[in-house]
Amino acid sequence: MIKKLLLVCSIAIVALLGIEAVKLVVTPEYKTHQKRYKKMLVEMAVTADEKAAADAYGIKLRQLVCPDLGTTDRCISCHAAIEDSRVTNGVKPLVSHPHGLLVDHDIRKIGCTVCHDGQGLATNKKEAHANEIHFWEKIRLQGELVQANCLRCHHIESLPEQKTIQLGHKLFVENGCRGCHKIGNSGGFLGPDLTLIGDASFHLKAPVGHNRQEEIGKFNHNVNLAYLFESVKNPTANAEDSKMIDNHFSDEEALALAVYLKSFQTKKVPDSLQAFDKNIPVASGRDIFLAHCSACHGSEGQGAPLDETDKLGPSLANEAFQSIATPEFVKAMVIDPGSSIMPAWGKSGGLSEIEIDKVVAYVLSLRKYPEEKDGDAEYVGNPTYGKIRFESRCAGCHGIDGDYEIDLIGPTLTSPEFKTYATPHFLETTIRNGRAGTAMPSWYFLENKEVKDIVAFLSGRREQAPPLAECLEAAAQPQAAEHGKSMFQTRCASCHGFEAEGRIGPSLNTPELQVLGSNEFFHRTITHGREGTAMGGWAHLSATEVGSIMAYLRTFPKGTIRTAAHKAVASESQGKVNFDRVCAQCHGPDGVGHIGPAIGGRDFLASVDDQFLREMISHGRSGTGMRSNLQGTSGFAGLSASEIDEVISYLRVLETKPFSTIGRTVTAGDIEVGRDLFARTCAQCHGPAGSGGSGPGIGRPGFLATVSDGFLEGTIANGRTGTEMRGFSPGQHALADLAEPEVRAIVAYLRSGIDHDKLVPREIIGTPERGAMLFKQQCVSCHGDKDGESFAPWLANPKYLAAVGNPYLQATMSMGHGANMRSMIRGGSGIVEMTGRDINDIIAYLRSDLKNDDK
Amino acid sequence: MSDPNNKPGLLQVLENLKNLPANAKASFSRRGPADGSRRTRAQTVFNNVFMHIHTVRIHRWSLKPTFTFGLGVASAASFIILAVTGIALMIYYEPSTTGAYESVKNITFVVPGGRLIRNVHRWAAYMMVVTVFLHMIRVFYTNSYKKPREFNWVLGVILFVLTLALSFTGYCLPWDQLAYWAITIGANIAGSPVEVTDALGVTHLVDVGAMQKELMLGSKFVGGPALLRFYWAHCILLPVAMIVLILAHVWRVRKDGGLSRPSDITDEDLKGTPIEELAEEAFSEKSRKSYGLMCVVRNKTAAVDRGPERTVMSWPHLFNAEMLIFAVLLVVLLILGLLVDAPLKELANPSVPENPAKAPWYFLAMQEIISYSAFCGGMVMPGLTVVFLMGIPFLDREEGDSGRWFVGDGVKRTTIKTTIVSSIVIIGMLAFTVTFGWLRNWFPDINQIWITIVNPGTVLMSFFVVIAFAVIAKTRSTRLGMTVLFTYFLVSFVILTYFALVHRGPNWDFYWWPSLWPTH
Repeated sequence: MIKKLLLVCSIAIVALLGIEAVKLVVTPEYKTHQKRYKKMLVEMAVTADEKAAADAYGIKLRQLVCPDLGTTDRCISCHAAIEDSRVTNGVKPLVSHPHGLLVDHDIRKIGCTVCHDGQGLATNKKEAHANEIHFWEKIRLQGELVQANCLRCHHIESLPEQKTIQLGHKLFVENGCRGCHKIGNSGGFLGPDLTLIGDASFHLKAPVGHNRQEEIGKFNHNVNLAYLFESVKNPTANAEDSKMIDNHFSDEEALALAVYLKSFQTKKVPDSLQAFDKNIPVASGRDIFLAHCSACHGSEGQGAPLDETDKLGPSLANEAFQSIATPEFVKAMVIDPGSSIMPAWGKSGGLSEIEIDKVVAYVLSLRKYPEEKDGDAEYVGNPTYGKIRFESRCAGCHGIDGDYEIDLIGPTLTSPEFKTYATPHFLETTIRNGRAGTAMPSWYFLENKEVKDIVAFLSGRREQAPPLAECLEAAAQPQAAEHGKSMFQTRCASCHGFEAEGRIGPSLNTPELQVLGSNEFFHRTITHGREGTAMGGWAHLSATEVGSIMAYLRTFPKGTIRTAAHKAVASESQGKVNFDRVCAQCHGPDGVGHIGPAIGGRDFLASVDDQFLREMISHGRSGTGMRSNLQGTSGFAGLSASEIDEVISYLRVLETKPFSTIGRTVTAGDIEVGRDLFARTCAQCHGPAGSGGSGPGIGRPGFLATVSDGFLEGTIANGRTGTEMRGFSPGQHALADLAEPEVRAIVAYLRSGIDHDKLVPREIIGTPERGAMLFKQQCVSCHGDKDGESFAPWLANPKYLAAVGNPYLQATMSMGHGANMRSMIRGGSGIVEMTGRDINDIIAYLRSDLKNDDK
Repeated sequence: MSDPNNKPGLLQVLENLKNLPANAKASFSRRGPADGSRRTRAQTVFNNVFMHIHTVRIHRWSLKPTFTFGLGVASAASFIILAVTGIALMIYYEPSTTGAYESVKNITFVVPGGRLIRNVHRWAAYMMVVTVFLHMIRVFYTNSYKKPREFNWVLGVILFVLTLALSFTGYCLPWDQLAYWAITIGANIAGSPVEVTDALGVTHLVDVGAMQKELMLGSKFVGGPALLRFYWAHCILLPVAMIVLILAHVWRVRKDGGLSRPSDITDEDLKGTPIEELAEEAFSEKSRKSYGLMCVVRNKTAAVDRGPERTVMSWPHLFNAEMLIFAVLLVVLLILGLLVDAPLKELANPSVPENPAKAPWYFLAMQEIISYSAFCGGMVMPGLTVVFLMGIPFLDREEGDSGRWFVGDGVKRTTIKTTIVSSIVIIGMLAFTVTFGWLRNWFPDINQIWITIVNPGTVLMSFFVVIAFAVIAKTRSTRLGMTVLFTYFLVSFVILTYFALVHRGPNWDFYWWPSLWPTH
């Protein structure tokens, strides 16, 4: 019995071992394939060499060993024909590699699994492809899915034909995935780090949706790809409270993205085998912006909602932001915004300074300038429209109608002194460019017509000057000269001296002027002014006033004319030489003015004839610094009459040229004295170094570049009626009396002496306690009290407050910020009507420590 | 003289060459002519270095299949198969953390027959654990640990521990996820005395746990040294110990009077066992041969004062039986090896722990009680179990018959009752802990030492110790007490193994079925 059983068992053992032997020797998969291939080789052999090779083809295990990669790939045991390009229509697995890729990819150096994954060690199809082997993570990839592994050696830019991965990359950049996800060293923190997501073990990352088995099946059990596909197509599948934006990708897009994401793997290819692609383009600011910022801020900077959190990535392209944001502010915010949502790109976010600079430049380039429309160039501003436009855009900061009010954010625009000095060009420039460092935004987005209308409104309020005839009539009245004297002393003496002896302005009592100056001359000069100098056009004076002043001026004794009356015809170039030699040291180059008045200006030259000039040049003006220059007189220079005529010719040439003293240093003054005087006299209102305080920031380059020295002198001397700026000439009842050299010293200091480091942000004078109350009433409902509390940015953020200037805050509250933040100032949108004082209080509150209380 | 070997010169050499085959054959075996006589058969056995560990004659009771079920032989046969396949595997296996996994893959894919050899090795390992376990059950329930076989029982327990150790060290060699985390868990169990030293606050003085762990791993962390150590243990230390102890164990069987036999054997009992032609021959009571001078034997000697009527020649009967068991085992293992691949997961990845990281099935019961307290479940309970098992023959000194299943009064009844009661109590305890948790759930800040002392393992053990004592007190039978405890040990092993296998999922949480585990 036992023996029988023993016999049966022995036979069974032999049979089982026989089965194993057969399996080993006769039927390994690869032998079948290689035998078939050998037959094919024999059939395809043409030359004698090929025939010999075909016959010698051995049936054995073949493998590719790549020590650099640590792989041993036995794929070619079954895929024997992979390198044989003659096999074009083979039956799998005896097919040659498609797309001719083996020409550049030598499988002897890199093997197969570096591109295709799979289990290279295996010798049968099931275990090599490893789709069903659940513990083998890197399943064989086929078709377009292989592109995920191209990036192990290649740079994405060098693979334009790989459509799937290019689409994936494009979607990745355009949807701003790095805004929330860190990859490598740059990216945000709201989402998980994706640096090695392509390597994620299926233990940790697997699809979880209801249809996950279907999806895993679609990818042939490649759990990692199925997971990536599900994550981008259906962000809430894995975590229902996920904040990831659903971009509603189509299946094709989601697949492309999944393939691209799969390429984020550990670098396993050593440098010796990397394909070093040349000419990798450097990412532009736009590229960096799209990749990192667009998810929250929109691909055009338009701002984007983060759905589930009700948080808005603020819009960056909106006009209000672009008009006031400075590069320093934007850069500071990008580097470290101190926010719980926006990554600190300059720190943990991983962007280099160069990249940040590029992004900042791009952000600021998002300005959309208005298009040129037909008729723009010829359009003449309409003051009526301008008034309406002014009230809607400007009145909040500049006061209704531009009139003075206390605590206005912007300066008064209606005082006669301002109106006379602010030329249309000055107004247009200031409106379009704003004033850097102040709350005046750059209204770049206004259409040409709008700007012209506003300018027309502001400058067209120049009253019409009384005509000459009326003035002469008034001058003829009895007592006109007496009235004129008191008028003169009130209005003109600040510049021209009490006895018209001259101060900042030239003397008016010299006999030479009296004999040569006609009524038209005086009338024109008084009502029209001299552009580019401190003599404004006093068009707001009535005919009586003008006439009286003219009558008073005529009370000075007239002199005699000693020169000829003919027109000067001589060499202008020689005249220039003479002028530069003799005249310029007092009258400035090109006659812009210096110690002596500006004689190169059109306004002056148009109102005088050549005899006037000849007389003045030859014989000077008694009692002034203008000496006679004719040879034979006791002057400095001994110019002959012909030389004087040359100078006159030169001056006439200057008349045709544009005369601009804007932004130029013209006045001669002692800078150190001016520094001292400014600190004592001006700084208490205008701030240290003219940074701005209760008075405007006159030390700021933005302002100084738009005005002439005359503007400055005139304003200092005369003040601005109706505002707190008094005239500082003696007799003006101001805070101080400044003599002419002192005024010039201050102007010289402003032009040349200001230490820009001393320019501080304009001091906001406000009451924090009141600001706290206002903030709670007006702002908390949108901005919240704590970080992340509400959908508008948290304002008490210390990093934000450190980066942002008070002008920005003032401007933003006045103008609003895009679609969601309306203008908060009265006359704005009407949601909230705050005055400039309210705004300053709120800013004071934000800057104080009160905001840290009761948290 | 006419000496056939005394021919002149060259002729003698030719003559010698002609006789060479016959002379060589004759020199090989000291058996003499193969005439089928009992003398020849006896010589076959005791003249051969490998076979003379067996007796020359063997009692028919020992060949009864329903007595031993061939389990001892099956265990040894498994060991031989393991040794042979293991030596084959050693040709290609590379015991380094960088090379182990790939070498196992190469064995599987490339080495001709490698896959089969590896599979057979793995299944033989599981088979050996099963047969050893069943063999222990057989020996206990047939009362075969009684005097004079106590020490053999102790040797058997040691062999059981060695079997588990060999299985565990082998499990860790492929350096895959299963292996790596199994070593990690094992090392942490070795380090578990830290539970106690921490509770006593003496860890900084003497850290027994760390010492044990470092001894096991050869380092503070799982890595190359651990693998090498396990390889060395698996291929040298433990097999040598195993072989030496198997020899001692089998020798002791012989010296203890062969396999146990009841004193009341009838012919009915011996139906189905081989029988010899000369068995009917009557013999005188006293044998003419005296075996007394061959060795010192305690107690009853093999065949002194008794006739050989129920014994048969070992050659061929015993060897037939052994061969059959070996052959059946080999057939089963080959079928398993051809059909089912030995498990192998992905390469060991220290950053991705298996969850759940389950021990090989024979350690699952232990892992279940470890889940409460590593020290208690990993060191104390197993230690106590081994000590208890070894102590059975010394705790139960009753004179009793051995050789039949459930021999003794009330043993069968007690066994059945204990099985039922243990099942209910153990399942009840598991249900309790699944539903209500244990001390840590109710008192989150409790000192771990309380849980080390009071946990389901100790509670159940104490319960059944009490029951055993009650049974001993009531029945005055230590045998029954031991039966209770041994049966409880068996039942708990089986139930806990099943429970940990099927109903424990990620984080060692309870799940009704593996399909309910969180997505994987």
